[in-house]
Amino acid sequence: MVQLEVLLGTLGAGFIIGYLAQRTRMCFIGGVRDYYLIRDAYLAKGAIGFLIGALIVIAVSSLFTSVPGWPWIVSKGLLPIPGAPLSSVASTPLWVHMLLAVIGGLGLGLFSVLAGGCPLRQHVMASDGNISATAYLIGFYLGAIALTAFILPIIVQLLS
Amino acid sequence: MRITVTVAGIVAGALAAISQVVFHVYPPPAYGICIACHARDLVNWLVNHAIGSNLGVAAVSIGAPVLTVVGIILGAFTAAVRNHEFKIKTMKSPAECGIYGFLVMIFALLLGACLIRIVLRIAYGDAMAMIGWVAIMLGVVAGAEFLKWSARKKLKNEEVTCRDGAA
Repeated sequence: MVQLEVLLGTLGAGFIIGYLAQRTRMCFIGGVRDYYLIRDAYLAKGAIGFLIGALIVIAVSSLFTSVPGWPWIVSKGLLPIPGAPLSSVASTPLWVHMLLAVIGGLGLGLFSVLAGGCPLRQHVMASDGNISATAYLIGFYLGAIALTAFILPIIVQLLS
Repeated sequence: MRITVTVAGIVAGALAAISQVVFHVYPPPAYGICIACHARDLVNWLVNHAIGSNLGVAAVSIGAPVLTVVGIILGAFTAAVRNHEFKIKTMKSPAECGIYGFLVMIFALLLGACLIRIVLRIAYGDAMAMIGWVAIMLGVVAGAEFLKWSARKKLKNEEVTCRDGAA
């Protein structure tokens, strides 16, 4: 059954990634930050490794099975891959996608640095017994509900 | 065996792609791993089933939610306990961290990716994700400069207090 595959697949992949991230302190925001501040490339290697690993598996599997839309820029041009709440609305113009990418990216980078790590790292730190990271996670999960329930409807209304 | 961060990154990237191709974590594409979106799917799914609301989740999570974040917490906890690194500690003000978490989630969902999925989307060939990545780097630079500035300010204040104390 497909649903069971998704449940077990994400649980298992998450478990392995969580284990590895705890052992290596892997953090993508830390990679950019450390390289910028002290020219330390240790954590940046994790992000580069991730890009290489994903690229190889996607490219190889596209030879055997269908990888829908890959490579995206060839099949869909500048349109973003869906997943953002507004990217599923077909009528969203390109400049809105770009504005969301820029605003979202700036805020994500800024507040992740101030918090001291990317969301993955915060999950790992919380699992290490870090109370501050646990508080971060509570805010993180509440933020998801706040965005989908309250903020998003306002943005959609402003756009229409 | 010591795991290097490069190996951890490659394995995580491979798993992100395998999640889609083998375990059918799809649609949307390039959704194998995302901390923000998968956390959103999980909480919204739980809230929807608890109070009968209709908060949006990704198509793949409509029937049953993705459990990536649960797996990450279990995996990291196992690693911490196995290596005797689990310890209750408080690093920064929890209230401050809670606010950062709230803001990070909101901006991540506007972008449609966390730090991990943005790299996965770049691997998938998404041009808009590259614009998002540049914006993230600018945000990190701004945050790092702010941290440097506030550390310098703090140092200066301490100097003043020391002098006051001496006088």
